Amino acid sequence: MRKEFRLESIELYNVFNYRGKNSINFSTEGDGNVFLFNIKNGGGKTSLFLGIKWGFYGFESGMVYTKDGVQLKSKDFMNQDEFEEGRFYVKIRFEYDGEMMELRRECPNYQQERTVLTLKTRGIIERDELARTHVSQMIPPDYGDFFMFNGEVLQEIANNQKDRFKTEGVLKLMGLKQLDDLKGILVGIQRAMTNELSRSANSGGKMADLQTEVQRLDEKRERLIRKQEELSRKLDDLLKQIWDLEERRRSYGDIESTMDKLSLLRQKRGSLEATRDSERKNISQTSEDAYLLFIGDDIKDLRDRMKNRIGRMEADIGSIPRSKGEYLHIQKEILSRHLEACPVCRSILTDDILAGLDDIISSIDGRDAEYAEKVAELNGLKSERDLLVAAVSRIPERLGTSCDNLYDVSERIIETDEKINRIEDVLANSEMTAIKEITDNLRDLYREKSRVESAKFENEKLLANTEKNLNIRRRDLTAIAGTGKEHVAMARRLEYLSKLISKLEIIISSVSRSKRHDILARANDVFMSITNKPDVYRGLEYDRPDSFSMHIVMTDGKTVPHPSSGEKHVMAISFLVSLSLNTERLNPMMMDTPLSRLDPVHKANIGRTLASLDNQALFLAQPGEMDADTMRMFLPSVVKMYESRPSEGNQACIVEVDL
Amino acid sequence: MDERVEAILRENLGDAGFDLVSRMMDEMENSSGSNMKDRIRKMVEVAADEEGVQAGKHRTVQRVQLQG
Repeated sequence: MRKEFRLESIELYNVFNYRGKNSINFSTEGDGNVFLFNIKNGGGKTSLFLGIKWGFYGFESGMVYTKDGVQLKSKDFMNQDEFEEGRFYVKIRFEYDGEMMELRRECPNYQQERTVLTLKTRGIIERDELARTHVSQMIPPDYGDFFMFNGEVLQEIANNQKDRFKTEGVLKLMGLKQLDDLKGILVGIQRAMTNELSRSANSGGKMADLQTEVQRLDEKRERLIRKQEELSRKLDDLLKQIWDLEERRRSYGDIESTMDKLSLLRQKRGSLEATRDSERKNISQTSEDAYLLFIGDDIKDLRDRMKNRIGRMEADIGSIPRSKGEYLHIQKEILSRHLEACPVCRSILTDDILAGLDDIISSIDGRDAEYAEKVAELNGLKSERDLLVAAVSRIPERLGTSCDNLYDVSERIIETDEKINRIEDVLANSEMTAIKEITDNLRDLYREKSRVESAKFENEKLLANTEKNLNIRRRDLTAIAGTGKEHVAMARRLEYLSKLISKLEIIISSVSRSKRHDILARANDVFMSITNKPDVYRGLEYDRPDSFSMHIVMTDGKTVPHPSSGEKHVMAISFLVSLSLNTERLNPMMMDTPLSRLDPVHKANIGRTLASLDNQALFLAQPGEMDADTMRMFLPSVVKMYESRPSEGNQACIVEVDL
Repeated sequence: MDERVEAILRENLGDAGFDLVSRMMDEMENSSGSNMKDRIRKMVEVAADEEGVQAGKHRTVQRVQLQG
């Protein structure tokens, strides 16, 4: 069952610019839990935040109060118009676990840095040390570290700064740090008991060897623990450096995108130049026949007419009979030998036949001559035709297109060059050297970060192995120790202690895992209820197994590489709300200007999320964070609203206003 | 102490073990230095001796039962 801490009222007296008594009433009729303080800049918002926080924690708890980067002392809390009176206090009335109580923290003299604390319960007043113990049990300082935060703390959490501090703080809040510290103390006692046991036992070679081995392993363990701490510190430093450089690089964001544009333009120019060179080559290879372009049509026409004529002539020539002429020449040859009968065909050759043959032969010879002429003419025509065909094939049809292309590409190259020159002029005037340096440094830092993380992982494994061997050797030492009564008792105590330490290790590991899981699960729920991209984002995941730092994951499983400042703040708020839900306490939360980096949707969603909690939430905002639209969306979650009204001089007073 | 942590401590250490751890953590919170460590060591020794005594009694009972 979670113990509830519900504020009833807070009274500030002479704190910062709140002169005299200033009371804030938190009692409500309904179940609402969000109390909105709408205070303009310079109106005392941060003073109110610090004053209330001081009321809860004072200086003795180790809480540090800063304003504009300066650490505050008592004199800074003192109202400047009341230095003569010299005292200030904060009185808090609250209900804790069903009991009404009143806490009063007073600085009777601001010059002396001394405070008086009283806690009244059922009419009984506890003072100073007793009151402090009681108060810190109800409102632990670690709670104040996490749940009373301003924009600066939110920024640190959002940017994963002071990661070790955050991790240790969370473990402390869960009660695990204290268990871990106890385990550390018990290990020290175990070491001392082991040494005493070995000294009191019979000395023997084996005992001495074991003792040496235990001591060696113990020293090795200490070295590994120190190395682990050193690596953790180094990793924290690296993360901080990386974060700083990433922030600086983001401020050069425009230059990076301009450089990308330049790179693309250069690639384009390269491609255009390749096209230009190709066209030039085409033109060079075909320019000799460029004249053919002008007479191409005529040549084609002539070629076609030639073809037709050749076709006609071939037809003519084909119609001339050839074989009969050869036969008649053979006949005449026979007859010229004055034979009356042909020895071959036995024909009788008369003078008439001879005369007829002569006529035929001379006509055939005429036809043969004509044929030969025509054949010769035909061959001539064919030669001419072939020349024309060859000329047609050489006409550089594409030359015109190539010339056009060359012209276009040249124009585009000129345009591209102009754009490149303009961008190069812009970049020459900007901090190119700086961004290159940042990029180079970041590369080195990321490389170093990987190396350190690897070294840490290996060191952890080595440490676990060493601890295991150490326990085995200690058990061996106990086993071969002597059998004296006192010795037996010591051995038994040592064994009991070793078992207790082992169990504590298992418990711490188990609870830590379970708590980490629960914190992440609730942080996811809160994040998804606040984010303005529920369709794009899947939720949150831890960065590393030994850290509570988180990153955003998209629905496709990829990490969001560079979330905006607003999204980082939403992550941080989700983490803090989840943490609050995972403690066993229902203590009030207080936030000073947490919305400055968020858009109206986020702001309204945060209001709704806070309203869904069981804790009281004190929300200190300045009007710039709460424009009309945001106020309209936020107000349904608010149960009471206050403003700071100026009074005389630079003073202020808190008044409750209507919603 | 966180209720879940308390529950897991009880489950793993038993009531006596949980009680011991609680007292040790109170001691850590209320004092410091070598006095604190000495007091915590004393608590461990007493708890170990008490467990030894209980174990001894248990063995005696078992022996008697076997003999009987």
